[in-house]
Formats: sequence, C-alpha cells, structure tokens
Amino acid sequence: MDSAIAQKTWELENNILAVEAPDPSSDFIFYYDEVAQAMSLKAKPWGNDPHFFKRVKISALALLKMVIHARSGGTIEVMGLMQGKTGADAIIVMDAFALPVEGTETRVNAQADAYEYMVDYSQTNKQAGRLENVVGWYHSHPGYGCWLSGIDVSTQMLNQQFQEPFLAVVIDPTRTVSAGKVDIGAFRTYAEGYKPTDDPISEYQTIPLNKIEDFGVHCKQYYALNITYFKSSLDCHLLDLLWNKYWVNTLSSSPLLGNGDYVAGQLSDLAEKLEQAENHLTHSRICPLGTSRKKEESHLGKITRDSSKITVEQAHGLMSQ
Amino acid sequence: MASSSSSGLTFKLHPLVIVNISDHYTRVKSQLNLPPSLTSTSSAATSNNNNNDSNGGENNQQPPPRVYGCVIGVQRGRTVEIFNSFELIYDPSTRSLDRSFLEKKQELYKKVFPHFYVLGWYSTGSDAQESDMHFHKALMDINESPLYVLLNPAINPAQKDLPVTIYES
Repeated sequence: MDSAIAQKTWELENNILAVEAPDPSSDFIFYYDEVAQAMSLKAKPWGNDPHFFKRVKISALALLKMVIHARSGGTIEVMGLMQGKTGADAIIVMDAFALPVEGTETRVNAQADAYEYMVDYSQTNKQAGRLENVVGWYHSHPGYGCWLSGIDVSTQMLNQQFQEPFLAVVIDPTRTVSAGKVDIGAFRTYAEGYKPTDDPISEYQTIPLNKIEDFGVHCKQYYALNITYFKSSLDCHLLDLLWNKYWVNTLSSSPLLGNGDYVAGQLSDLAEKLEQAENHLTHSRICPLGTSRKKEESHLGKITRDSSKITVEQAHGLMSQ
Repeated sequence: MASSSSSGLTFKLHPLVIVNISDHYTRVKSQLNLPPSLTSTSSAATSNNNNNDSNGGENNQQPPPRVYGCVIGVQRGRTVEIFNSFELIYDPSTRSLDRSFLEKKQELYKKVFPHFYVLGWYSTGSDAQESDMHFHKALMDINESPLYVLLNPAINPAQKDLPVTIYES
C-alpha cells in the first residue's frame, strides 16, 4: 500500500526506531510507581555524578505539545514545564504544559512569576490522575538553534541545585519546519567549576553571528543528553490511522512558504560570516602562514557547510512542490 | 479535518486532542492494572504491597474505565476548531461533576490560551450511551450546544478510519 511505503521512508528519514512491538504490555512506562519514585528521590544518585543522566525519553504527547507551543509563539521565545519521572539513567518526560510568561533572554526570574500557575496546575493534574512531578523546563529558540544561552545556563544551574532532578530542553520551531525534522536538544549543566574529562563532539549546528559569542562562552558548562521518543500502543494505532489519512498532505506540504523570513535571515547571516572570514584571512596573511589550525574547522569550511545546508533545504522544498 | 455534519457545521479536530485523550486513557488504565514486571520486582523490594492486588505474575485485568474531559477551541461562524483538551473529574455512579475543578482548569488554560473556550466534552468507549446525557446536560450551562467527542480505544487492526466520532446537540 502506498501509505505504508511512504511511512517507512519517512520513518527512515527521521530516524524513528520501533524499539518494541506496540502491544498493551509495553505501556508499563505509563505507570507511575509512587513508592519507587519517592525512594529514588531520597537516594539522590545524581548528587555524586554530574554525568548521571545520560538519556531522555520523551512521550509523543509531550513532544507534540512542546512543538506546537513553540511554533505558536512565532518569533517570540516561549517556555513551559515538563512532568515526568526518573528511571535508571534516564529522565522520562510524560507530559508538558505551557507557562503564561513571555520569555525573553534577559529575564532570569521568569520562573518565579509562573510559580503560582505551576503549583495550581500541578495540583489540579494530580487530582485528575496525572501523578508525575515536574522534572524540567523547556523553551524555544526560534531560528537560532538548540543550545543554552548564558541566562539559560545560570537558570538551569540554579534549578539543578534546588529542584533536582531537573532537565533543560530547547526546541527550535523554525528549523524544525524548514528541515522537516524536529530540532530539539536536552541539556544538563555541570556544577560550578566542574571540568568535563573528555570533550564530547557535539553535532555541528549553525549559530547566527549575533549569538555565536554567547554560545561559545558557555558551551562547555553543560552537556547534551541523548533523546529517544516513545508512544503508547493506542497512540501507535491512532497515529497510524492519522498517517493513512494525511500522508499525502504531510509529504506535499511545502516548508518554503512559511519560512520566507527565516531563509532571508539565514542568507544575510551567511553573508556576514563570509565577510568576517575574508577579514580574518587578510589579517592572517601578515602573520606567519604556518599557523594553520588543523583541529578546528576553518571559518571557510564552516561557511561552506552552512550554505550547503541552506541550499539542500531549499532544494527539498522545491522538489516536494 | 473531519467531514461536515447535517447541521452545516464543519469540524476541525486537532491531532493533539486525539493524543491527549489517548494518553489520559492509557494512564488511567496503567495505574489500575499493575504491570506484571512490577509485581515480581516490587515484592523483592521493601514492602509496598498495599496497592498491589496480586502477587507474582498474575494480573487482574479490570475492564478499562471510561475517562472524561473537556474539549476547548474556537468557533468561527460555521467552522468549529477543536484545539486542545483537558481531564475532568466525574463520578459516573453519583453522576456528579466536580465543578470547582472544571472552573480552576478553565482559568489556567485561559491564561495560556486566551482565545480558546469550552466547546464540549470527550469520553472513551465504543458508542454513546444514555448515561452520557447527564454529563452533556451538565455542560450545557457553559456552552448551550456542547459537542461530544467519543474515542474508541479498542485497537482494531482492520480499521481504516480514525475511531473518533463527534456528536452535536
């Protein structure tokens, strides 16, 4: 059947691995074991090891809510909280909800304002049967990638001191739409003064010039966690049916239309970076030529990567029309 | 996006609502039916058998309960768009709807989604029942003609269409 083939291709592109065959017994992840959670909260195994949590599992519901909320914010950063539990070395995110605060990069106390909302919401949720606690926060970086800014790092470090276990998630809704794949990252910060023993090679992502300094200064203070997604057996069934109906729409929707501004922004940023690289080269011609950094990619190399990414996305958009 | 109805209204159902209802149902179901892996491991751990009905591999499968909740969205002219939903506390035996809870939740959602208002309610099951009318009437003081979204949680591999039906009054 056409839709089955299309689904397989789409799953391959988006790296979706069916970990276990969806049957009712695999829904155990939805069970909230209050006693086990309370025990683990007392034991606090993450207190000694800053690298304790290595993986994050996000439920389909949480992901959907977060991405929709991030996208609805447009170019404004939005934020919210995530509810879930811990399991071995993973943080499991079951649900997410939006907070009624306007997140700007300069407000550190955004969470203090939303405290009342959060308490009310958690209380009503517990009554309605969602027993999990808050395990983290998420916010969006529309158009400039998934990483923690200086303010984010200090907020998260504070959170990790008082509200453990806590996780920071960043979503970029603009890049999600243009790339066709969810741009999301999960992070935990190191404690003040901790130096990671090995330097993990993170996936390269384009950072706009005006943010690159903020990114560079703080990128060593936190580490990224591996994200996997899960869904219940009923979710599987429903999503399959939804796919059957709308796969034609999904594959034929053009990412180009909604993202005109973003693409223009990307191109101008690329132009600025080219100029910067040119200046850098003219300066280095004065210095001895032997000092070429082999380990780091040269500026020009990075620029070529960025420009090829933009062209690939445009080509994809045009092809699907 | 669903088909049009006899009253001339067009309904658009957001997939988030479907996933919400499915999640609510799965959660309630898992809390009631203790997974078999947990019964054997928990007996080895410290005593917490107060909420375990059985010991060992046996699992009493109770019939999954019905879950109830509210759907919110906007109605523009003849098009009704259902965007989101949240759970409600309802006791089918006493037929009492927790009003303060409903109002509290409404308030919270209004803060984050100021444009949405209550359009109706949802429940799980195979088809609409007489007892549903009580709930329906209870919601009529919030919205004069509430919608009723019914999701059938039974997984039927032969099904081609979404097991969602929307009733209107």
